[in-house]
Amino acid sequence: MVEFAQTLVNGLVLGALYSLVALGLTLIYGVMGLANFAQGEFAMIGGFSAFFLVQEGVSYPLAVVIGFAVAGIIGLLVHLLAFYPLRQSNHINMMLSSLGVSLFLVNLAQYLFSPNPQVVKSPLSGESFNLGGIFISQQRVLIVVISFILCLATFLLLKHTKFGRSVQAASLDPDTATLYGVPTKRISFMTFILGVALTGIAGALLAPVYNVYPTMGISLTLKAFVVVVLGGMGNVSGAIAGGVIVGLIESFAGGYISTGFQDAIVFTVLFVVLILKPQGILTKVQGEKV
Amino acid sequence: MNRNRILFWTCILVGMICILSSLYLQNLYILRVAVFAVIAAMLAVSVNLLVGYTGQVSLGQAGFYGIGAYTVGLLTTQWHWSFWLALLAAFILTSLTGLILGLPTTQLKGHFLGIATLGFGIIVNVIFNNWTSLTGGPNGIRGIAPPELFGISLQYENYFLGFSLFCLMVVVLMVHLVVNSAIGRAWKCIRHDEISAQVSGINVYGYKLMAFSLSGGIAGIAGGLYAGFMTFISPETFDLNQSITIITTAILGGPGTLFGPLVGAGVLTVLSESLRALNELRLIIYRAILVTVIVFLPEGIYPFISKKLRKRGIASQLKLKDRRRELDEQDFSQS
Amino acid sequence: MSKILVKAEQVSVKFGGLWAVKKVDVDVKAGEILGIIGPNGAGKSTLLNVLTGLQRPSAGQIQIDNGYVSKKDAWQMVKMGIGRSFQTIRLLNELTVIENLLIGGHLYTKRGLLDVLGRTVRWRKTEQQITNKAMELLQLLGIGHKAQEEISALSLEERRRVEIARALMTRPKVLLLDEPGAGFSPQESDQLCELILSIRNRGISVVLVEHNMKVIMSLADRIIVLDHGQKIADGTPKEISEDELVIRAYLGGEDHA
Repeated sequence: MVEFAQTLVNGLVLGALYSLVALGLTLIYGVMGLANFAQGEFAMIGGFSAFFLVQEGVSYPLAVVIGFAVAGIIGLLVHLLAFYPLRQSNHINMMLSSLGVSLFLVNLAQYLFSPNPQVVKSPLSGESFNLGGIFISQQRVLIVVISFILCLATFLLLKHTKFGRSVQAASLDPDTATLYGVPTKRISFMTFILGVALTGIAGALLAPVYNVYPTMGISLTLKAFVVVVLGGMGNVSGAIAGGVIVGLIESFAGGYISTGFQDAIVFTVLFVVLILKPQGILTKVQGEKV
Repeated sequence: MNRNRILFWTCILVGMICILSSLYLQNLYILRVAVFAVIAAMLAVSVNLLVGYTGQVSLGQAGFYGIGAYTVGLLTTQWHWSFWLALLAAFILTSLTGLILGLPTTQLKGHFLGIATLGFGIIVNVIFNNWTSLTGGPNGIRGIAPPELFGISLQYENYFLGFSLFCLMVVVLMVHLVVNSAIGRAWKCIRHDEISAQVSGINVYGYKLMAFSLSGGIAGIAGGLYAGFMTFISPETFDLNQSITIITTAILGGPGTLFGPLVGAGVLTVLSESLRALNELRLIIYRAILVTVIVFLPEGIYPFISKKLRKRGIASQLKLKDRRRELDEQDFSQS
Repeated sequence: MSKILVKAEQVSVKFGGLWAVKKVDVDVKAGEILGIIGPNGAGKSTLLNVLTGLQRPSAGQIQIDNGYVSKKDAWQMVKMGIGRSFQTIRLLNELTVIENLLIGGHLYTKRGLLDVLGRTVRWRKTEQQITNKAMELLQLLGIGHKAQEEISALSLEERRRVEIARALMTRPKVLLLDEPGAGFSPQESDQLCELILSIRNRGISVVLVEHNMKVIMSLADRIIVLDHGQKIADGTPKEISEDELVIRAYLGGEDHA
C-alpha cells in the first residue's frame, strides 16, 4: 500500500513536470509548426541557472524566477539564429535544426559546467509531509502545485487575453490570421519564448529532486513528445492531461515492471497510440478534406 | 554512346579506381577514418531513400544499424556462422524490421513519423542495453572475427576499406537503378503529393513500405560492416545521437540526390577530424557548424555546388537531355 | 441501352454533422458524357472524390463493372479504369511535363525489383512504351513542344491539359474532370470542348463537373444536378434546363447559399 502510494506520488510529480514541458512544446508546435527537439535543453538551462544562483546565495524562489527569465532570453537568441531564418523552409529542416541546437546546448553545457550532476539546495528539500506513514517531500508538493498554477495560468492566458486569441488564431491558420491583422511573426517569437521559459521553470523546479546535468534535457524532450502525441499535437489541455498520464505510466512501469525497460514501455505506449489514434487520445477526430 | 552512358561509366570507373587505390594506402589513421566515412556514407544513403526520395523522416536509423551489427556480432560469435551468411541474415532481418516498423508508422505524417521512428530507435537501444543475456548489455559483444574473402583476411585496414568501398558502390548503383525507374518516380510523386500518386495508380502505402524496408536493409548492411571492422560492438554506438548524425549527413549532403549523402559523409568526416585538435571545444563548434549549414543551405551541399558549377539545373537534368534529344527527333518525324 | 460502367447507389458522405453528399445515385454509361452541376458547396467535388476512391462513403455502394468497390483505395480504382483531374491542379511543379506523364504511366511499367535492378528487356520495352505513349498524348493535346518544360513554366490552360494527359496515361474507361475549364477564356473553353469530345470519341466515358453552362449544355448527354448534397434532377440537358427545382436552386440559390 505504502509502495503503491509512493509510486503514485512520484508519478504525479513526474507528470506535473512533463505537463509543463509539454505545454511549452505544444504551444510552439501549434504556432510555428516546429517539433522542437531542443525543448528539454531549456529545462537544463533553467536548472543550471537555479544551481549557480543558489550557490551564489540567491534565495531558491528568486532563482526559479530568474531561471524562467534566462531560459526565455536564450530562447529568443535560439529562435533568432536557428528557427526564424528557416520559417519558409520545410518542417524536416526545422526539426533537424532543433536537433542540432539541442546537441549544441548539451555540448556547450558539458564544456562549461562539466558533465557531472549538481545538487541544488532548496529550503524545502529536507522537509516532508507525513500522510499516514507516507512521506512526501515538500519540494515534490511544490513542483505539483507550481506546475498546476502555471498550466492554469497559461490556459487562462490563451482563453481570455488578446495575446491568447492571437496565438489560437495563428495556430489554426497563420495565413488567414495575418490577413486579419494578427502579427504572426511577433506572436511566433512570443510563443516560443513563453514555451521555453515555462520549460525553464520546470528545470529549476525539478533541480532539487533530480539534480541537474547537461544531458538531462534529452529524456525530458522525449517524454514531452510522448505527452504531446497522447494529448494531440497543439492541444493545450491535452498536453496537461497527457503529462500526468505519462508520468504515472513511467512511475508504475519503473516500480512494478523494470527500471531498465521503463523508457521502452513509455515508447511502446506511444507506438500503440500513434497506430490506433494518430490524432491523440484526447482530441476529437476531424475528417481530412481532399 | 550518349552523354548519360558516358557519365554512368565514368562514375563506375572512378569507383573502381577508388577501390583499387585504397589497397595501397598505408597510413593507418587515414584508413580507419576512411572506413568509418564509408559506413557513414552507406547509412546516409539508406536514410536518403526515406527522407530524400520518399519524403519520410526517420529519426531511428541507428536502430536498423544496431540490429544489423548485433545480428552479425551474435551469429558469428555465439553460433559461429560465417561472416557472409551473417551479413546476409543482417540484411534480411533489418529489411523485415523496416517492413514491420513501416506497417503502422507509414500511415503517419511528418512530425508524427519522426517521433515514432525516434521511439523505435530508443526501444532498440534500450533492448541492447538491458537484454543482457543476449546482447551482453552495456558491455556489448567482443571478439567478432573479421571476415575473410578468397583466403585474404580483411583484418588489414586497407583490404577492409577496399571491400567496404565495393559494398558502398554496389549499394549506390542499386539505388541509382531503383530511383531511375517506375519505383523512383512513384517515390518522388509520393514525396510531392500523395493524392497525385493515388490517382496515378500508385499504391502509396506499398511504396512507402518498400522504401522503409530497403532503407532498413541498407542500414543493416552498414551495421554488419561496422561489426566486422571493429570486432567489438556496444549499445552506445547505436543511440539517438547516431540516428541524428545519420539523417543530418543525408540532409547536409543533399537529400533526394544520388551523390548528396556521399558528399555529406565526406564533408562531415573531414570537418570532424580537422576539429580534433580543438579537444573539448570540438563538439560545440561541430554542432554550431551543422546548424549554420542547415540554416543557410537548406537544400544541401551537393545541389548547391552542382548548381554553382552548372549555371542551370542539377545533375539529374543531364540525363534528361538525352531523352530530350530523342523526343526532338520524334517531333521532327511527326511534323 | 449501353453498358453501365460505374454505378453508385445511395452514396452519402458526412463531414462532422454535415451531409456533404446524401443518398445520391449515379450511373455512368459507356461512351457518354455525364455532366454534374450544382451551386457552390453542393457536393460535386465530394461526389467525385467518392467515385474515385479518395473519400470513403459514409453509406452506400459503388460498383465498377458489376463488382463492389466501396472499400478500395484510389489507386485500385485507377487500376479498374477510373481517371481524374482536379479543380485545383495537382501536378508536380518541379518536374517536367514528360516526367509528370510518366508517373501517370506507372501501372503499365515493369516495376518489380528484379526487373528494375536487372534492367531486363521487358523493363526497357515498357519504359519505351510509356514514353512513346506520353509523347503521343502530348501531341494529341497540342503541347508536344512543351514536353521538357517544367510545370511551373506553363500557363494555367497548358497545366490543365497536362493533367488531363496524365489521367489519360492511366488508360481510363471513365475520366472524371473537375471543372477543367475554370478560369478559361471563351476561346480556350471552345478548345476544351473539342478536346473532351475527342476523348469521348476514343471510347472513354467522361464525367464533367463544370460551372460554364454553355460548355456543359453543349457537351453533356445527360446531366445530374446536385443541391445541398442531394440529387435534385437527372436528365438530358433539355429536361434539366426546364426543370422547376433546378431553376429554383440556381435562381433562388443566393438566399440560402
